[in-house]
Parts: sequence; structure tokens; C-alpha cells
Amino acid sequence: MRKIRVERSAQSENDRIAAENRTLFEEKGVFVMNMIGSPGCGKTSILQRTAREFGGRVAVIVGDVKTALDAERMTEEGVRAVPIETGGTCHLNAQMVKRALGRVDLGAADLLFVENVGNLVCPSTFDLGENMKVGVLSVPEGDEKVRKYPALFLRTDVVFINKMDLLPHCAYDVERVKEDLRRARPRVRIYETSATKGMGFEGWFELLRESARER
Amino acid sequence: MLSEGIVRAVLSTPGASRENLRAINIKVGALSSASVEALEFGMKLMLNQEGVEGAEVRIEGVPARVRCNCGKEYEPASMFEPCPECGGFEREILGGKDVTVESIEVEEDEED
Repeated sequence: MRKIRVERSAQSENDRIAAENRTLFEEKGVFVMNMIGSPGCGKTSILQRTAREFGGRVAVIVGDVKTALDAERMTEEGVRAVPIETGGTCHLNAQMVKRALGRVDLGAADLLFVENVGNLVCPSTFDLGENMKVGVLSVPEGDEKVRKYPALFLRTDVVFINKMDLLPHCAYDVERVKEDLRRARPRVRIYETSATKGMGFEGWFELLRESARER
Repeated sequence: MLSEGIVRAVLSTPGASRENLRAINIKVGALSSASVEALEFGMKLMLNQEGVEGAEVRIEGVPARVRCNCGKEYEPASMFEPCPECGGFEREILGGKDVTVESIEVEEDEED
């Protein structure tokens, strides 16, 4: 028997393609965010609000296991949204995004949002070539999500606590969630929002303006 | 998906083939979000699908290892616990983030 050292990450093939995506984004001057959260936490609603603010400078890639319904919701906002139907896979990978990029006009966009499949586990470790990972939590999900899914919240630069308008109806300790987020990642930016009511987006919009300018 | 990446990495290693592969040694980091049990199952399916028979899969957990801003290096039981030295949370992750194929074992060719 002969032992051969391999010492390769299980993600090495994905990471290679993610690096290609990242180079392309840099060349085109596009700032890219990977949006990760549970099904129904408000990822698409947050992007709809964002699209209303930034209009034609925004492009969106939307991953779902089935249907292009979320992409259609974005198209209604006048944003070009490219759907990726993963057909069962619970997360996007760099190859899927690379393929979808053929249908995105990167030259016309300053900001590209990649809405991942609704899931707090697998999307956290697949690099897509993004500049930032954005986590989306929502009040009705309960306040233990950060503790239950640490792998994601160790990697997020921005986290939304969405559906804040439902706070009076839910037993949700916002301070506990913020404390957990800061323990996992001390420099995380936290935005408390209601996407349907349009509340709490000023900091997010400011961050996007800065990020788009820096590209 | 993870097992697919692993099997691909293994089979593209010079010297390895579907026929001569006998063992795969994998390390799973505590911060990787991968479960050892699920990975064992996924590897079994993936190897079967790829027509690899008789390869043992050995998976070893690797603890998280961090370096705090104060300089203290330690293995946190949870990322929600503060540094035992200074009580801070600003730290660099040194290990335990990835799933890695460490090594493989192959049957020697007869002429070797």
C-alpha cells in the first residue's frame, strides 16, 4: 500500500471557479453580494426595496430549487433577474453562477445580488466569487438562529434582522440576536428592517453607495 | 456536493485510479458546517456511483483553532465564548474552517 498526500480542500474546484468569477466582477467594476437566509425570511423583498432605490444599476441572480417566481418578482421592479433553478440542490455553487453570468449584463450594473437558495447551512461554505456574504434573519423565525447556524454567521459581513414590524407579535429578543452576531463576528453590520414597510434601510443603502463607488 | 468535490479531487490525484484506491483520509473542520455522519453517507453513495469499490473512507474531526487579537491561540468550544485570556471576540480563524482530503492510500502496482 502506498500513501499519497493530497491536502486539497473539498471545495478546491468550486474555489477555482469562484476566483474566476471574482476576477470578472473586478474587471467589470461590479460589487457582488451573496444573500443567504431561510426560506421566507424576506431575501427577495429586501432586494425589491433595494432595486427601487438603485434602479437600473442593480442586477440580480436568483437561485431556487424550483420555479422562477422570485426572479419574476424582481422583473416586476424593472430589474433584470436571471433565475437559476437548482433542481434539488440546496445551495448555489460557483459553476451555477458562472453559467448564469452569461445572461447578466455586467457592464450595465454597479451592484449584483446573488440570492441563494433558502437554507442556512450549505450556502455558507460555497464561495461564489462575491465580495460580501449577507445573512438575512427574520423575527418570526425565532431568536436562536445565530446560535444554531454558527458556520454561516462566522462568515457574514452584513446581517439583516427583517420583519421587525412583527416584533409585537413574537417572543424575539433582538438584543440577544445582536449580541450573538457580534460574538460570532465582531465587525458585522446589522440592519433592523421591515422590507414590506420599507423601514430601516438607510444604513444598507449607504453601504451599497459606498461599495459601488469603491469599484 | 461536498462528496462530489472530494471524489473528483481524489480521482484526479496522480497515481490514483478507480481500481487501485483503498482508502481516503478526510478531515472535517468544526467550523465547516459539514456533518461527519452525512459526509460518510454521501461518500458511500458517490463512490458507488463512480464505480469505486473497496475504498475505505476515514473521517476525522478537527477542532476550531483561533488567534485572539491579544495574541492568545486557543481551541474554542464555541465561537460564542470569549477569549479565556482577555475576554475579547476579535480573532483570526487559524483552522477548522474546511473539509480537506488529507491523503489517499492506493494499492501498489505489481511491478513497483
